Amino acid sequence: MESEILLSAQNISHSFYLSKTASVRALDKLSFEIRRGEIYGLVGESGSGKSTAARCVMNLVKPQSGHIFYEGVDITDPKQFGANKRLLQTSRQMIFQDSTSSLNGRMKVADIIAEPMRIAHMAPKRGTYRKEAAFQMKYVGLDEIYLDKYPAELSGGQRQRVAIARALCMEPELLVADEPVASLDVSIQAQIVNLFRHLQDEHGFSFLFIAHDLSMVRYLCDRVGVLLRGKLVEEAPSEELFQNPQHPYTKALLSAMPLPDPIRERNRKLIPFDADTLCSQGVMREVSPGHFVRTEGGETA
Amino acid sequence: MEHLLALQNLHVSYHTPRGTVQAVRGVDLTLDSGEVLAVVGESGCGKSALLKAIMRLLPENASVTGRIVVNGTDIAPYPEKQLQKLRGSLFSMVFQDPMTALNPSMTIGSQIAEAIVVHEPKISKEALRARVLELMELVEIDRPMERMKLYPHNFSGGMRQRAVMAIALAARAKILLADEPTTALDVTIQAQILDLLRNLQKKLHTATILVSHDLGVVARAADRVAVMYAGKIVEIGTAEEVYYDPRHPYTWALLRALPALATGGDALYTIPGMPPTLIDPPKGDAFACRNEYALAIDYEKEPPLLRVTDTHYAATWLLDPRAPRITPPIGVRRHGI
Repeated sequence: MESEILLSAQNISHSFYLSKTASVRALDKLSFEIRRGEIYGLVGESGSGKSTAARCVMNLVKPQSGHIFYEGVDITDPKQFGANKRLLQTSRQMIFQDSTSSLNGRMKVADIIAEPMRIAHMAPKRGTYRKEAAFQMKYVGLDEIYLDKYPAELSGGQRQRVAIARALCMEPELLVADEPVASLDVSIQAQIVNLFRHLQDEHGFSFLFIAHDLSMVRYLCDRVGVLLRGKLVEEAPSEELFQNPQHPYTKALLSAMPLPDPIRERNRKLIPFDADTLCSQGVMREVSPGHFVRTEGGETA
Repeated sequence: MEHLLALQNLHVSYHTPRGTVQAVRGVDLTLDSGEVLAVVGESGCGKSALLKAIMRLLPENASVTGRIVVNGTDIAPYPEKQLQKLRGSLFSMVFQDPMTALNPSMTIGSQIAEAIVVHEPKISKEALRARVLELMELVEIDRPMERMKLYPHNFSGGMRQRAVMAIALAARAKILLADEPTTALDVTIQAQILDLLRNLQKKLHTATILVSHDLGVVARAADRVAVMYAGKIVEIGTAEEVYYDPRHPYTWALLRALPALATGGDALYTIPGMPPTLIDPPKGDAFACRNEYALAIDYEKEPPLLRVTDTHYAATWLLDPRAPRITPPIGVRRHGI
């Protein structure tokens, strides 16, 4: 099943400097691709570089080396970025984890949702910006009465939906969602995840979905990449990865995945791992179609 | 048999300018030493208010009625001075975010020591140091000798939560109240902290109330599970009973919303509507308007906790012999062993 590649990150590296001598390598020659209409999941522990990868894709962080191609445009090259600014700024949108800090508390919901359209001077399809906002609100399952409310008057799930409506009003090709459901109740999580599924099925949206809830990733994503210290250690179609994990780090992660099954949970042992020995050099090898595992040079999987 | 902790008809109300919010509306609970009781529910169902009522950490506009019986003595009427002696020695609390629970300008060792000194002011320097090391080992912090000199910002999230638990256990508390202790943590760390809770309970025989919004997370640690909705317990039973044989429609809904139990390409189940406001709770069963299995009587009369087995109770009229038989839409299948 080959389909068109929407985004391709090639060997991106980025380090954060803590002081003159100390630095943290957030991304280490990371390469991945997102196909059109696909939900690509990145999983890994905190500090593995998931969020930095998302920020690089959104041009919020400039990788120190490597290239990211979006629709064939190298977004890390300022010249190409400048020439395609409008395409890049309207067709990629991001949803952040914390809806409280990503929405301006002094703006009404209607203005928050319409703000990106105003900035991009987009003519509202439905007459006015307000009508456009109302349409998007309805789309994400919020009542119109919230249009004139402030974010503080909404619950966490409602705020997250406002953030999603704001991203959707630009009709993006690629949605980058950095832990979009982590702070929400289980039943609200289900609503948001269903909405993502719907957007993918009906409108062909592509997603970069970052989460630490592995059962959510398994349910939602088509392909999943496992990040360890800024490197991919395993990448496979979602079901294949969860049923047949190969890399020891993936196995350790999956062993910690909570299951609503008390007897099985109590009898299940966590697989310990030592990131220092695991962070292997090696190369990514294909063990079965579409399933790549990082293995030490020479060895076979 | 006398229980370590028994809550009897506990009510917590917040008096606000908009009216009285009935956060907890008549909860009866028992807790024995050496067991982990998980309290699960959506945000706003009163699970945190319940813990804070036991600790009496509520703001001034809150009032608590009912009995909080510890080893046969009702501590509800205790004045603040007496309660202060109980906090830490009888029960202590672990909060969701370990970073805000710790003092960023004190070393981990001195924060643990502080909690010990409050309860044992006359402890010698050597004994204090030994006790700090012992506590750090108890919560499985490696190399405690070096780590006690570090500050919270040097610690990872999981380590911080371990340090918070060491502080909570400093005065040998018999009851540990944990309010979403793993929500801010990674999956791997979350499982480690849940295992730590279990190990502590085995080693020290403490009783734990573990509050969470996710039924998936608590399965690893809980002996018994109580599901809360709109300030009431709607189902309570052993973990096996609640997961494998849930009886209340709300428990069904919570389980069906979990992606781990989703089958194939189906959309996840979502609970229609919103939880009711607790300023003016609806007549009858508070869950009725969101419940596809609601019976006519649910809108009229609130169901009491009906018995399923001696340990398993659910507040739904579906358990009444006159109710129609309904096959639960979900129930976790039992796997081996």
